[in-house]
Amino acid sequence: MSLRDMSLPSRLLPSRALEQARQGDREPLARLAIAVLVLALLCVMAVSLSSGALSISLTAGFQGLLDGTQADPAALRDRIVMMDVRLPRVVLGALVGASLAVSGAVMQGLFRNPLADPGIVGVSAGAGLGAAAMIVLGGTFLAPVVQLAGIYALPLAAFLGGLATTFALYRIGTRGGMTSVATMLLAGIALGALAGAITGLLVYVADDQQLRDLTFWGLGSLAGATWEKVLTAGPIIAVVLLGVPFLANGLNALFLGEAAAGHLGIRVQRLKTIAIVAVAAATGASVAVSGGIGFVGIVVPHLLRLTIGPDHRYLLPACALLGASMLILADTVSRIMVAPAELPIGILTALAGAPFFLWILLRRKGLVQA
Amino acid sequence: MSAATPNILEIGNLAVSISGTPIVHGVSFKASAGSLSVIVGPNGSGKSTLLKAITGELNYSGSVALNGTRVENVSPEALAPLRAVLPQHTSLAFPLTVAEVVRLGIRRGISMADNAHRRVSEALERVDLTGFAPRAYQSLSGGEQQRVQLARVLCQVWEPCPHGIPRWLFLDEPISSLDIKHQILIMDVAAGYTRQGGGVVAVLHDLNLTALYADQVLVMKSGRLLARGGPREVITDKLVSEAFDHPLKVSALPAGNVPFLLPQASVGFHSAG
Repeated sequence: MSLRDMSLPSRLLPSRALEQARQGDREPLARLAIAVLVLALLCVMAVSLSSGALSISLTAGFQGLLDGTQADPAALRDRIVMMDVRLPRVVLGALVGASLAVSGAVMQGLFRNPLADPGIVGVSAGAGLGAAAMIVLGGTFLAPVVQLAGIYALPLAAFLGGLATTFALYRIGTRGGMTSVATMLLAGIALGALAGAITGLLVYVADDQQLRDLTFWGLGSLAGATWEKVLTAGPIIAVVLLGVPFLANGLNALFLGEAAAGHLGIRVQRLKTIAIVAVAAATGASVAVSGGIGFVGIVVPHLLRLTIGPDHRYLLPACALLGASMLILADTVSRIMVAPAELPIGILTALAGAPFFLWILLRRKGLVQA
Repeated sequence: MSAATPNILEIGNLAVSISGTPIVHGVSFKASAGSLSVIVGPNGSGKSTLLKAITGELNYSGSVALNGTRVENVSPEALAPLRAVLPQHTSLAFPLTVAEVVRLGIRRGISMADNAHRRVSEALERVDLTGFAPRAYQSLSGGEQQRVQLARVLCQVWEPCPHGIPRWLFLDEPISSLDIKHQILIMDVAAGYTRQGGGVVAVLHDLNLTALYADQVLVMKSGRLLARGGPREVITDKLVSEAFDHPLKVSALPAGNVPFLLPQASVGFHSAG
């Protein structure tokens, strides 16, 4: 792949960053991209807040916030829609989108393969099994956990499910420090199917209300976003997002393989453990509040690697920003496309993401050779 | 150079087993900073395994001490600026440019600041890859990739002997994919590193280049050290024939009395004489 393929069209960029990218140094380009992505995220957030079945201008919405005492019923209604419906939804979308994209990037760095994604290799299915177990058995068998963990019981169960799957995947796919991609993908399919089957068993024994909860949750949607959900998943995702930049240098060293990373002074085993726990936590928290939203974790890191290169010091923050923007955008589209009804966002991301995934496969045929 | 911190690499009774099969049996030797030690031997004699054990990639019994300190007592972070390792083969997980690969050798945290830029260009110049910085690593030939990796490794331990503390290069077949010009260039780089006080331990297959450049030759056979010493003591008809289980004839260049081997076909054209 030539460098020309890796960079954006020149007229979109200040010439200096592009010139340095031509010299093999994509850092200025990456910093520029991050700045652009911050602006893009703010724009997408503004658009999402103001559009929907009820059209509210941003200024009016926030004016309503400031002088919330006024009794004008229209303003009051706008304020409620803005504060209790749209804002938590945008915040949750940003958190989940960032978490999915960053989890994908970290996992791909860890497995040294651009096809590793929590959704594809069964981690999301494992997290889903944990969440389903909590929904179905939370009233009976797992009641003590619910009592103890409260609103965190669901993300905790999803986290444990995701952690168990990631760990099993790593143990199966990696022998003697080498990760076999074929083994990993096949093991991921098997683990995903196993988790799906057990989830199916749980569905079978679930009562009507639980069934409703399961179906609603499993479609993958940001609908029903509440401040409570934001508070449930938010802290976990925030800790992961703030923590992963510390893994960047280690993940960069892993470009060269585990042995070479060790010679560069990286504690590889510790890095792998932290990365696995971080991916499982972020995936678990996301799955717990939004169900299975696929392909964000594979599309976003891949697009960014093509543009700014694979350096994790820039890739990880850029993934968080673009993942957040893309999910909020997808959610906004899913809300207004069939308004006043809405499409589950998971359908939308899969519609766009699956062909993209196939495109990656076609473009780089060598990837899945073990 | 005090007695407490000898500037040597000291290997004591080192043994390695891989999944229960012993590969290296009790090897001991010393290599001093400022000298180039070359490990030679037939395929499967345990050369690379020995090097991997010394650099901590494989579990071993016995002892490895660098500059007077057992390496297992040194943290990875503290070891990295002291010694760099060139693997036999490196495949990249993601498409990087040559500059980005070399930069991985510069201490973590340093970004592409001006001095890092300069260091990357200097390293590339040293391995005869000037102007290759923006190229995609995966588009290079095997020999060019090998030299990029060497440039990266050089960046990791750039100064051979800062403040009198020698740094070490461990090179596993550094010239296996190179043409003869670049074989000599890379051996010159290694020899230059030792002349400035650093230590180099390399696994090589080419006995002639070994004879030309090595200060110490270590001959491995069946996981044991068959012989060690200077090229003239070790590269002899008897020892080389024994090491490789093949009758070999060593000659000597008149200038400097450097031994060399001219391989001869065991069947065919030379039987006419």
